Amino acid sequence: MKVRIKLILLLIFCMISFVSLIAVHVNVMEGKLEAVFYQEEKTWLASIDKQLSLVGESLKECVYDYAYWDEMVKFLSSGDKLWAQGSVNASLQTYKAEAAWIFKKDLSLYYVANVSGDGFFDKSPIPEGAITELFAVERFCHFFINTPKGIMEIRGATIHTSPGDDKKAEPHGYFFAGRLWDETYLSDISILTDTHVTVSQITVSGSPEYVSDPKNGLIASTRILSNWNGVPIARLNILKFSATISDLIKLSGQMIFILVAYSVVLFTVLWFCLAYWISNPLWIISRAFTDKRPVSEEGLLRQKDEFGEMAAMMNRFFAQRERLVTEISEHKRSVHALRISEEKYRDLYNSILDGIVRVSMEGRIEECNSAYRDMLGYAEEELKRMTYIQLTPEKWHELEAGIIAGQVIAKGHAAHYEKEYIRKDGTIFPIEVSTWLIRDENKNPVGMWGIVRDMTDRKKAAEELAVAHGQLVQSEKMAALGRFASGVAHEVKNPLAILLGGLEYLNERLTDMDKDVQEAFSRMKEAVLRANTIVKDLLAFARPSKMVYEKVHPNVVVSDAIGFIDLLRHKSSKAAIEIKRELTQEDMLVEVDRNQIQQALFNILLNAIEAIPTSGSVTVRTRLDAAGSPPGSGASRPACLIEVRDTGGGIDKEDLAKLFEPFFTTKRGQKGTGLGLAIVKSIVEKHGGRISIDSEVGLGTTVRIILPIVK
Amino acid sequence: MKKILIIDDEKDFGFFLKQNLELGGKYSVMVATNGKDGIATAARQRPDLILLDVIMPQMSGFEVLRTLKETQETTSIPVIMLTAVDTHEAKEKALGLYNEDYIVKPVAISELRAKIDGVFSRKF
Repeated sequence: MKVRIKLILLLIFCMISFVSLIAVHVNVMEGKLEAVFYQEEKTWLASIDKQLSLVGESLKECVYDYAYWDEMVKFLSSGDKLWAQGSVNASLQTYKAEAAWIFKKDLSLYYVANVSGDGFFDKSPIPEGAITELFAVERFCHFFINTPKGIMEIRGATIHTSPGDDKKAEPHGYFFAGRLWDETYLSDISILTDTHVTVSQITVSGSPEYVSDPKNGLIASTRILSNWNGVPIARLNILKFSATISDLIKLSGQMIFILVAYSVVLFTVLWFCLAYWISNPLWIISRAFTDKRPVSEEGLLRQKDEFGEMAAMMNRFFAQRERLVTEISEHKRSVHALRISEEKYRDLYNSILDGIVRVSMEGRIEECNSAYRDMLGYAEEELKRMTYIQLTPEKWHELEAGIIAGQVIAKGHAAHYEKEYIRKDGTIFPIEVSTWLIRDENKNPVGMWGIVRDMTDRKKAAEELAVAHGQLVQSEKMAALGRFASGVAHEVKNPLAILLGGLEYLNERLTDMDKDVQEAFSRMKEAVLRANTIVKDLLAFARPSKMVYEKVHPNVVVSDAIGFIDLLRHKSSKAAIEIKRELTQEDMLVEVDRNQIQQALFNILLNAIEAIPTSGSVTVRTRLDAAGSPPGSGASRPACLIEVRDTGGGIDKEDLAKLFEPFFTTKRGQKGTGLGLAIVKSIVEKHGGRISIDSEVGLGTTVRIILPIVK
Repeated sequence: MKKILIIDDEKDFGFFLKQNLELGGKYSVMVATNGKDGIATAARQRPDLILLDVIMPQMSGFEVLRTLKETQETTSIPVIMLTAVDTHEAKEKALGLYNEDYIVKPVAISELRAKIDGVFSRKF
């Protein structure tokens, strides 16, 4: 439960307690006041009764006055009206009575004294028969009657002679006197008793018209006024206002109001003080804690009390925490960055293609990356037991020692230098090394870093590049030669055409030529055609036609070429030469310009046949060559081998080396142009293949063509 | 008798070719030594076949061939390219211009006659 709630509950409890105390106090006070009131009422009522009794006593005295009872007895017998008028009527005025009735012994109304002049009082106030009953016990009676002018108090007594004042003797008559309780009389009683006296009729409910009200200091009392036979006919109301009680009650109410107002003010002030001094600061501090932020309320921070100090302390705590969090975050970031950096470094270290090695100053290998291990073929544990000197061929030791001393130790770094390493399998390979000196905190050399690059591929690539460059130069030369050959061919072919046309024309026109002339024409024509063949071969060699590739089985092109040869030699002297086919059953395809490869094979087969004088054989073989990768193909991969082996005379070694040179021919003076094998080599190489010729004089020649397969 | 027009800047070649072709008595041969004259002659004489060289001054054989094929009077005349240019590109270009054949010089007259006869046999 929050402190604010607790404080509110505490205040509510205090307020309830306070109010309860006030309520108890009020009850006690009211009880006391009521007790005082009722005591006063009791005292006062006794006083009132006494006063009323005294007031009524005069009327009693009027009827009791025995100063004239003898005269009254006398009057009853004499009937002296003058006496009655002088005495009785005068007595009524004395005792402030309005009427008097005198009855004889036989209960007859004997005399009426009526000072009010109202005729109502001339009649008897009670029935005649009731008089005997009235005085059956006592000689006096006291009752009230209703009159048109209001309630009248009647007092009566029996009439006796003086010695019979004890009224135990037989009465001589009866005497009644009536006093009217009119406004004047009641006012007199009120003044006399310091009360407010009224007379009211008996209500049906019978409840008194007035009741005492202690809270207002009102004392009310009633007296029942009964007729001659005890029947109530009116109520005498006596009211008195007690100023003391009223003042006390008012004072009590004011006190309660003051106490309540005081309590309200007290608790309000208390609440504001508690809220301002305790609840609000606590709430602000608690909220700041909950929100995990410093206290921003300047008012609280300026306070010099414990809460102000607590808020300031909290702000210092948060500031410290913020610094701590920042420091931790920065630390984490640093650690993360360091880890990333380390991972990057590690990845780089291990993924870099160059070998990286750290060695001691004695040359012992302390650390190396995977590229370094891979290039040497050693495991890391093996390398850590070795020195780089052990990995270096002896011929480099002196040079490298000089570089270490003269550059690495002297300058801290040695630029790239080349040497060799020995692999685990004993092979030696070229490397390029850069070396940095490692120093400790005192700048003393403690080791060296070396970046080692395996130069095998680079050197190989450089060699291949040189070859490619040579090929490019050759290609450009060939292109220039092609353009030149085209021009020459055009310029030569036209004269050849003219010559041929002329020769044919002459041959047709000269119908009677002898054999020699015809032979001359024939040879001239052959010379022209041979010149044309040379031009065509030159063009084919120097300006190859556009390649049209298709995928075929090598056996197909081989069979086509053999078919052409068979057609050519069909009726010639070479018909007896056997052409053997040893064709592969492997399922493979080569992607070739079929016409060009056929032309190449045709040339080779033609050479083979021409190499055999009369009889012999040419064996044509195709097979899948697992390790016959063509040049430039990188890793070895299967290729197609086409082999043409003849049983001819063979070629001597001197000629063998020149076979692919343009215009070199071993058939000089015959049909050879010296371009056939050059064209064949050009065609094979355009297909990504290679050609080689082995020959032994007297045994025959073998031409091997290797073509890449696509399946 | 079929009329053949030779358009070739090589006068000697044209001369001997005309002589050789007319020997059989089957063809009447005309010779033009440049493209412009060849086109005019073709339009005027309406030969049955034209033997057309490729490399000629002023107008190349290809330009002559394109003009002949675009001219109403000569568009239906079959043309055989007869030239010393023996390249794949030239042959492809000529075929694209709807000529009948492409023969590389020098050519034996018997072979040429066979090709000419082949053209006539296809045409008629």
